Amino acid sequence: MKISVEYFGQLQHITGIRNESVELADGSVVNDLLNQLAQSYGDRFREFVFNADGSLRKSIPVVINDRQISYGESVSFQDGTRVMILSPIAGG
Amino acid sequence: MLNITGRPLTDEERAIYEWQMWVPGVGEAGQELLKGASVLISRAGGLGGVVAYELAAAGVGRIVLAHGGNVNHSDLNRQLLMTYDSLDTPRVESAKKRLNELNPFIEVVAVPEHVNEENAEDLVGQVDIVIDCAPLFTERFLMNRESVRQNKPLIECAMYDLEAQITTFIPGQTPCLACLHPENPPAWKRKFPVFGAVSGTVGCLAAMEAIKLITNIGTTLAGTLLLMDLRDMEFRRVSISRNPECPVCSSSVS
Repeated sequence: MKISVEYFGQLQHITGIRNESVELADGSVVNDLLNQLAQSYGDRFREFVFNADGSLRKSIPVVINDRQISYGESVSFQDGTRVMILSPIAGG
Repeated sequence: MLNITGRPLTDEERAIYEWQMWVPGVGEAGQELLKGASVLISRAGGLGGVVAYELAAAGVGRIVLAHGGNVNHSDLNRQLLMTYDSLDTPRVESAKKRLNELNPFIEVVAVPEHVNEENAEDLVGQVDIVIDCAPLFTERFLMNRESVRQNKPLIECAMYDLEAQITTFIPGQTPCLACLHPENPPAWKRKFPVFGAVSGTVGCLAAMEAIKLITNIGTTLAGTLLLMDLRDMEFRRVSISRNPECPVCSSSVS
């Protein structure tokens, strides 16, 4: 299946792009998607979204079809699913 | 709904606020609520300075600014309450001076330090609404914790590059900052790319959220995160969820 992925904040700087279509295996979950993206974008991406033990960083909100999913929430992707990977940002 | 007691206007204040009192739902009663309201803004930089300036212009009666340090050259691309002449002087004094030049009829409380563990409870306790414009998540989490504890709305705004985000947290009704970011993001750095026009954009929106909360007009961003990408002027609304295990707000949500 094919889904769309958008990157925000620092992740745009890390990936060098703002959005893309991603081909994903059936049955994939959020961690599978992020691992696949980490293989494409390297250690900087991996360290941004994953802890050293491979668990997803809780500070990175993931939005699926305009709804933020809870940490650990099981979400199944479908063809055309829209994913936003947000970066924590602040003021100054 | 906030429990704000309105304060009567003078004839001069009626003249100043005439145009906004024409907004349906505001009127003199709404303006009296603005005069009776108090807000905490941390900090008064690119983002908070614009929030403060708009709320001073709107006649919010008491504005508490918490911001430590002196004005630097690198502040001047976005921190509109700081001036070249105020370089190397306390930021919060420059901000207070500018606000009172615009509106001498409001009270501006200049706190020459950032929100911290020692002052957070007291600063949040002084006001009706908290507006989080701080660059560090340690400060943001402190304001969030105190806002939840003291049942105060927290307007949360942020920017990076040409992007900005804003939402309004209402204790007991919406997620809180710790639901959105359950832990301190390790990759976040205090210095980052941004234009003043980006911080100014989201600062104006934050001021509008405060005005709506005070005057009970319109619909706030409670439960919604507004994402703005000013590179292509794309604005999106995202539904944000409460974390049922949030260590900060889960016990306060009914």
